[in-house]
Amino acid sequence: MTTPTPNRRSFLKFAGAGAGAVMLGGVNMTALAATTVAGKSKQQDIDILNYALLLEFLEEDFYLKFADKGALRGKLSDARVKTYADIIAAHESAHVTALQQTIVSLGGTAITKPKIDFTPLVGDGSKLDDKAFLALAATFEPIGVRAYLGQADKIQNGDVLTAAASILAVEANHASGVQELRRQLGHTPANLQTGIAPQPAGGETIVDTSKFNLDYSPTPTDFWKPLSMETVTMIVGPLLPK
Amino acid sequence: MPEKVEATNAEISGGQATSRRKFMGYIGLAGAGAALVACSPQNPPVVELTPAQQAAKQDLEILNYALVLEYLEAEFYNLFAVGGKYAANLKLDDVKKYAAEIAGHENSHVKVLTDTIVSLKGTPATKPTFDFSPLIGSKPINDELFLALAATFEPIGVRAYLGQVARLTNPALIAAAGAIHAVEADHVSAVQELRVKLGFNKQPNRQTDIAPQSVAKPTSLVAGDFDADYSPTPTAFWKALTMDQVLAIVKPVIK
Repeated sequence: MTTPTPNRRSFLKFAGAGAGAVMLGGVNMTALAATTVAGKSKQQDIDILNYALLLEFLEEDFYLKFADKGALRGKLSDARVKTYADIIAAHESAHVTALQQTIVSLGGTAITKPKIDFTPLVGDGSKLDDKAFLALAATFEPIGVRAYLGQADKIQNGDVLTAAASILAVEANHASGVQELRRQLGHTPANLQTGIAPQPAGGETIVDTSKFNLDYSPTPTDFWKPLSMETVTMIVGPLLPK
Repeated sequence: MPEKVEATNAEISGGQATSRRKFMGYIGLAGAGAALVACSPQNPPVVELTPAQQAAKQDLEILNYALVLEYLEAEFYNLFAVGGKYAANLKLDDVKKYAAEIAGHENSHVKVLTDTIVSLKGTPATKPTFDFSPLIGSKPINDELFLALAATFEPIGVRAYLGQVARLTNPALIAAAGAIHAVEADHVSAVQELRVKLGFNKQPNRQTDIAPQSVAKPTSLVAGDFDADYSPTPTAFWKALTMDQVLAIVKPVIK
């Protein structure tokens, strides 16, 4: 991956922590990883919504840092890149709010926002710039697409499914807009056709972001491949300190 | 259709007003398939269907609806891809690349939907005859027009799939439709950011959940009222389109 100084050690340390229940941001991801098509229920819908909420918290936190008034806004210089940070931050915030409200409306309890630490991806932040910001966005967004896709067929409530599909498309919008912008700015040839971006070709089990390939086309595939909760958990886990 | 069957379908569809009767009407007019005609009100089924049969039937209807939309998209992009009638009208390499890639995707969607319908013992709709001249009018056929039309079709695709995903009963179909739904959204945003770069999009930050429908005429189903200038990342939540709405939109290009 092309982001600055990824902290490989902490990533691998997390990835090695296989035994026992994996807790992320107050969510028992091990239990969540058991969502199934056959096990559709209101409770499973709430679990899926909380999983989605966790991912949206993560995305929101990331974009807000680079959005107007964000702590890392000064790292961005290109006007179009700044616009993307602002617009996408607003979308992710809207997703967080909508998911929280939906969980409550189903009688569930929304998870609270976890501690989020991007150090494994950005190091001390000194090398952050337009290019690094867009590369991180191009990492997160297709994971979001594939994470939602991995749950769509396991949702029982039709309204929840439609809402999830609506967000799924929005994540795809983000992935492709960002990737076309990266191509225009000369950050990537953006010439790969792949249904498993940002994972590299043949690397569906790869969860180490330093091995991801961000050279996928803005229109990368005719069919996205879903990601399981388990794999997503492995990928984002290092950003969610226990 | 007997009223009883209609009621069952509405129930399966999760309360969304079923538009099947009109759907059949449109597709029947378009000559899009004997299987669909066989379900038309003129030919009521002799045997009442079980709920499971109704569910399977609803899935097939949605798949055939998706197939007709993908036929349309495939034909449009194939016209501009290598070997297509208008391939030489595209001058910019970036635009040609999108024509080729997206044509490949839409052709693949046609094939998968066709195969899926067959595997579910349904009959795939035959490809309608399309005529895009109502959309082209007297405009020059060039990079700008191609991208504008792509930016018009793709969000309709996104919103059409969104309108059906919760009506599908087979989980495998939900997953497949979701995968295609996201691909249409990719097309929207890649095309639109390219339009921004080329100076074709005059409102590159405009947020809207009803693209390509316009602010001025948000409920219009007439392409002439649409506004293809919207942000590549236009909304936090897309608004769905019903079958009725989509079929009214595409009807003018189906001969």
